[in-house]
Amino acid sequence: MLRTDTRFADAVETAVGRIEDQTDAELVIVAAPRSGRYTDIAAALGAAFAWVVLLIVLFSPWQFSPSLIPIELPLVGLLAAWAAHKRPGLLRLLTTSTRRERQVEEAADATFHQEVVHGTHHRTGLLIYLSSLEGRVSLRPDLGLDARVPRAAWNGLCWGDKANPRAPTDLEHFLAGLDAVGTVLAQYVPATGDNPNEIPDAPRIRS
Amino acid sequence: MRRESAPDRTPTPSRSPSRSGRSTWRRWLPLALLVVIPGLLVAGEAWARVGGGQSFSGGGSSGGYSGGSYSGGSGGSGGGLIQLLVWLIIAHPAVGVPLSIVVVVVVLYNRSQRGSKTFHSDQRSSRQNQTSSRAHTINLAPLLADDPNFSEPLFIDFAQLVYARVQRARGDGDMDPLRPLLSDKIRRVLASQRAGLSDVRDVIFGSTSITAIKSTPARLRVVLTLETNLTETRGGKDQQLLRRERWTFGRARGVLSPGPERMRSLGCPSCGSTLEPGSDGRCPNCETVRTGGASQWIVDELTVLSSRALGNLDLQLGGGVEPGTRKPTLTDPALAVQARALAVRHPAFSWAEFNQTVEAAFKKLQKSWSDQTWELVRPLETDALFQTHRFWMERYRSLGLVNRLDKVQVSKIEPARITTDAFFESITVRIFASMLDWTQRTADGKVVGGSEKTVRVFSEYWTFIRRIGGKAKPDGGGWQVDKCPSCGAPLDNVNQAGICGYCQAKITTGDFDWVLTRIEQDEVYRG
Repeated sequence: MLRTDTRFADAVETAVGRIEDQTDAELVIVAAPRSGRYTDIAAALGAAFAWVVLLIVLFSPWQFSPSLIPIELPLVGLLAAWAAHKRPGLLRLLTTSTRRERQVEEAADATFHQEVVHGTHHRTGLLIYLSSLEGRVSLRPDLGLDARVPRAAWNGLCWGDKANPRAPTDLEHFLAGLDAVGTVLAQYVPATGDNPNEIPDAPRIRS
Repeated sequence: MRRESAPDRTPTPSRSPSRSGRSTWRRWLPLALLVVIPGLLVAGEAWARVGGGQSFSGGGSSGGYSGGSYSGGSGGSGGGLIQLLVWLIIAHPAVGVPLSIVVVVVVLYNRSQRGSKTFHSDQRSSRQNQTSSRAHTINLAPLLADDPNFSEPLFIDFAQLVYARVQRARGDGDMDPLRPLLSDKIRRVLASQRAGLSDVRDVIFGSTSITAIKSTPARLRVVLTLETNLTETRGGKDQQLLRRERWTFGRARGVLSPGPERMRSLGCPSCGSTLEPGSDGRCPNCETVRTGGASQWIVDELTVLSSRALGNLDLQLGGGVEPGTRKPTLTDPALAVQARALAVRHPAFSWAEFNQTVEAAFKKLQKSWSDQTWELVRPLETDALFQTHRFWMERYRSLGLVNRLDKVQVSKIEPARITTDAFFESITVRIFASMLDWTQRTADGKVVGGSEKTVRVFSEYWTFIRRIGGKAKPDGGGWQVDKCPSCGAPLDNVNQAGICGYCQAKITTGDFDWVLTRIEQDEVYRG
């Protein structure tokens, strides 16, 4: 999984500055640890654990104190749910790729507005939303870019290895993806001179 | 009648089972007739609509429309019905009179719903033949989820190119270059069915539409129905055929469709090379596997639904209001949102200007069609639609007919849909228009279809596309229908491939400005 630490922030800021020199577009990079709480998945896992414990209590040869069962079962359930909530790898295992995809797309839509990517003068903002748990990158171009860059140009970008092009596994892959974005933007929306830096280049790293 | 029916109205317990059955049958007969006869009428109408003119090849061996041939059958059943009603009125007035009233009401209601005094529901004008007809809208969402680069107009262009190349190969027998386009099985079958065939040429497309998406966990599959006209030479003898075929294209999942240039070149989807793949199926330039649908669509299945000699057109006389004209416009629920997005994408876009240009394009197309000067409007249409129109123009010409249009008026243009795909943005508008539309024999000028006196009133959905990131002005304004969108020269030097003779640019791909890609009748448009 890609680590969104200081090294990541510095490298991305430098790359964004370099890209924006070649284009009128404005890049907004947001890195989020996850795109959903997945409480339903955690709760389901907790309930499953509690049920298994109940089966053990009922059918195992060992003796359990009846007075403790009402406390033990919810406690086991809560612990399992909490563990699932805290373990992104476990949540990834328990969710389908369709669900993860949907979470990322919905979160990217919301982030586009939260970060006011549409707030540039010529509507040339581009949100690059990275979600670590789901291992996905999602792009949201503003309408000014939509008019000039075919969506196919974004669809073909590679953020990871060949086997999983949309999942950046390390910083190098992510930076290579950013460079590819820069190439697309320089081709379709080249810098015209009237190119103020309207949005800070540093990535927004959510905790 | 009273004497016969009176005993039955007072049943007695001693009645035999057979008599009881007969009396029940008699008692229910009027009710059954009331239900069944209007039901037969309605069923007949419905059948005629489905068969009537939604497909240009829908007719029998004569080449006419099934709707046309059905209209005669409809009249026959009407005659039988009238005889039955007359007999019922005379022999059983208690049944015949109310039944006749019901029948008259049903007939009058149906006629008012059709909205025309002169039209049969199955009647199709010559102008309607020019339109592409989609029986229903295919949901492309499952396809787009796997391949967000999939573009319907681009895919249809690709399929037509593949079709034309396959037909040429059937003629010359050289199937090897088709390895990246056809599965091995299809190539073997086509090669084995060439008995006596020495040439296939003059392929013209009547219609091409996606009719189904049938994907498996490992493979995406798109089913297309193509209606074409081509000339085959067998045993030294030429025969012009009207064909209807179903082609299933398949490709591995997880592959993105290439862009317009590579789709239209039929070359390697990865590097664009048109070199034949090696024996291992790999592109000699970039090593991409090009066979088996690993990187590009190939034909997995091919079914010839019908192939018959070209026959006559079944033309009908008359004008009036076409069915569907009075139906409300099918507006996309997202139209308002998409219109706002369009206005932001293209700040100089103006609906008034767009509609004016659509009207100008509409009139120019109709005039060129009528004057047989189709080259003048070549830049306004995509290759696929141009093929359809060429098909019909050639068909009329071969039959010694010409379709004339006059007094073309556009009364209203309403936006219906705005969409974008990976390469194109599109706008669909509904055009309400009227015109004189008749078909005459070239030899003696005799009118054999339509009417040169009674105006036809109709509406159609026209879809225009323009490439995103192409050479069109990004602000979206300044569309003109009388100048080359690339160099601004007059449109008097555009060849059939859509290349401007002044600047050598292909101007029919939507790269430079809006081009017409689809015309749909209001009764078949599904949004």
